[in-house]
Amino acid sequence: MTQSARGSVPPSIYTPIWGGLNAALVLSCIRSHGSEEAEAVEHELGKRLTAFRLHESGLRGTGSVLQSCANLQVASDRRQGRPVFSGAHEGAVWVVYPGAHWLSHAPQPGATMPTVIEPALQAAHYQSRHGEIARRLGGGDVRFVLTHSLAEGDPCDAGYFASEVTGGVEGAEVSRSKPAWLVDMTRVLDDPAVFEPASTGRDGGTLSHEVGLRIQVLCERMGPPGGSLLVEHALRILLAGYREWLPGALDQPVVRTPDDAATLYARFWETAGAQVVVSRGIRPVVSLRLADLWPDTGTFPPLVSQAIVRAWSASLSHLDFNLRCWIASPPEEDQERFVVEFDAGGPGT
Amino acid sequence: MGLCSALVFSCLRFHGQSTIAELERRSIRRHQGKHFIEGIRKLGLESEHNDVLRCAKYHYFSNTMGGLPMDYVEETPTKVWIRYLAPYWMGDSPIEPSAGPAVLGSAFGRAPYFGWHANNGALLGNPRLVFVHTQSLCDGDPWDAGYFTMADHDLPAGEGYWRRVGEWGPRFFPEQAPSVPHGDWPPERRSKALRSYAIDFTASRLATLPELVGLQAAERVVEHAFTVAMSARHEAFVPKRPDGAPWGLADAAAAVADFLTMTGDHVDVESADGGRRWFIHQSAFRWWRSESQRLPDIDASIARAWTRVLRIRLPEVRCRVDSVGDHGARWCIEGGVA
Repeated sequence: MTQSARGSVPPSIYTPIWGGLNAALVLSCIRSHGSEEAEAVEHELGKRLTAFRLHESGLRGTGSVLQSCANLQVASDRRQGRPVFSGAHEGAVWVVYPGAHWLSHAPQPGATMPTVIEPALQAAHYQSRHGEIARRLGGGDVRFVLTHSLAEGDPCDAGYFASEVTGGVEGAEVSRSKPAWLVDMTRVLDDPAVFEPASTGRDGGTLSHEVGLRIQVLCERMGPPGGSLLVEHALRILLAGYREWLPGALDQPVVRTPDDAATLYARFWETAGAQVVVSRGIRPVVSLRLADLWPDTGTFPPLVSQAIVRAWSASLSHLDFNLRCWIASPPEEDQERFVVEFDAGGPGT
Repeated sequence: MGLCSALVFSCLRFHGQSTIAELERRSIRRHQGKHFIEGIRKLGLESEHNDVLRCAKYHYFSNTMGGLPMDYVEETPTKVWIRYLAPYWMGDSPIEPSAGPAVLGSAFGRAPYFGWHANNGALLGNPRLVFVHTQSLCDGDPWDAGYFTMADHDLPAGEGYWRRVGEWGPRFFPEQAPSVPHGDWPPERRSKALRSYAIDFTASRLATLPELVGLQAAERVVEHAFTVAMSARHEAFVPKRPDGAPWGLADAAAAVADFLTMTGDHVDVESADGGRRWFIHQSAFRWWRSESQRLPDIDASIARAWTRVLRIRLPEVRCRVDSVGDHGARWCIEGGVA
């Protein structure tokens, strides 16, 4: 038996896994429930995420209220590995997002997934995060104005925190007015600070944390059966898409035996900082606690665990045709453990 | 292939799931009409024992040539499996795995097989040939798969397709698969084949889109797809100059010329008005070569997308395109108000 929590995970591995799963959950929701429902999820998720981050930071910013809003938002974006530029101009504090969209995390940067995003969903993303920061830090005096949106054909997402702005909802509004200073994006693109790497692992507010919160919101809005179906679909698609990339990225390039499969599965969860226990044997067993992994998100319905394992089992067929896995009973002394067993009796899961 | 996928995503955003399924079915059928019978001959498959083997090998050969990873398993001489493994064109490309297919509905997953495989029997004069579709990535299966076999009765032309969930078929052993004709091709020839594959599929979509949604709506879909896909990859399409100097119109012209030559076409770049205007002369556009003619309005929407993308580096620039004859074009890069 081995127990482990691997050390730091490079952003080049962590971000495609957890950012990719986050994107897959958004896309699955659009597929099954339409863009409006995805928008509602984004509103709820963003507010919770922002509340968590502000609580964690103790509502502390630096400088003026506007600057504090921007600083907190930039810190949050950097934690998620998102390139971001920030700068003050004519009484407003701007945040500009060149390159990777919040929905485009993948092993190769610049995926085309943002093409599918409706402007309202894009706006919901910013209203619930940036707008929520403005509302909480600035009361009724500060708003976030979204001026640029990749979803509407702009070359980037961008907007500004400002006071004395009227209109909009909940601390945010959308404006199509383009400021002169941002007409030339070279200043943004050439700032080396824009592309700082993400933090990874167990930090609150990271992409894996967002995945946990998103699953929670989906299960609340659609009920555990509906939410877990989306989780299963998203994970199935992600693992299928990553079938060639993931084993190498997780340092298990050959997956032929149940032992190999158990190792790969364990390493997947370790990227999010999970404490994983692996028992080797003819039928190796891997156990962890989802509640430890996503501690502030509440209890996960059992259907979510089952969905995760069904998706994993289906994807193992990619690596070796007969590999499969299923949920095993947790040990009596720790009924909250999420225990998965592996063998080579498939496929057809 | 990223642009090809972006067209589907963009169309989904503006027109919904049923439209992208129909776009896929029609553009695949269009592609089949241009390439299938000729491909059978080129791949030397006329001498195969039956249409089941002929079709399974055709799809295995042609798609692996285009970079898609595939399995091929002869369960019997009249039941032959093919599996399309991820990552494939849905999402980003066969070499760029992504979560993109998560947004595609079940009907879209069936559409390419309705479009192409169901029609093989009609083109081969075999009304009993059928493709049995067993796994669909869009439904959460680990791959797209199925087998060609013979029905026990004649099927209506173009309807040789059955959906049957639950069969998995035998395991694939690479050493038992037929040798692919491109196995010993030099890298340059492989690269050309990959390029042709991507271009022809993109062209089929570009040509089908206006037929399905009308020209004006198609322009909006194309402009959005190209703008977002190229903006997301701005480091490749409009890279920083090695010397760090600001972009000029010459850099913008070079970027568009690079894009146009990605298809393997030759272009001539010419400056006019003392460098205040640049022309890129294109005698033919590979995208449109397999179609009867260019669609100037679609080209114009691509030019508008380029204007937006070029403005990432050069705020006051405009890209436009004029047709020259049936296949040629003159692209113009000039100053323009942002």
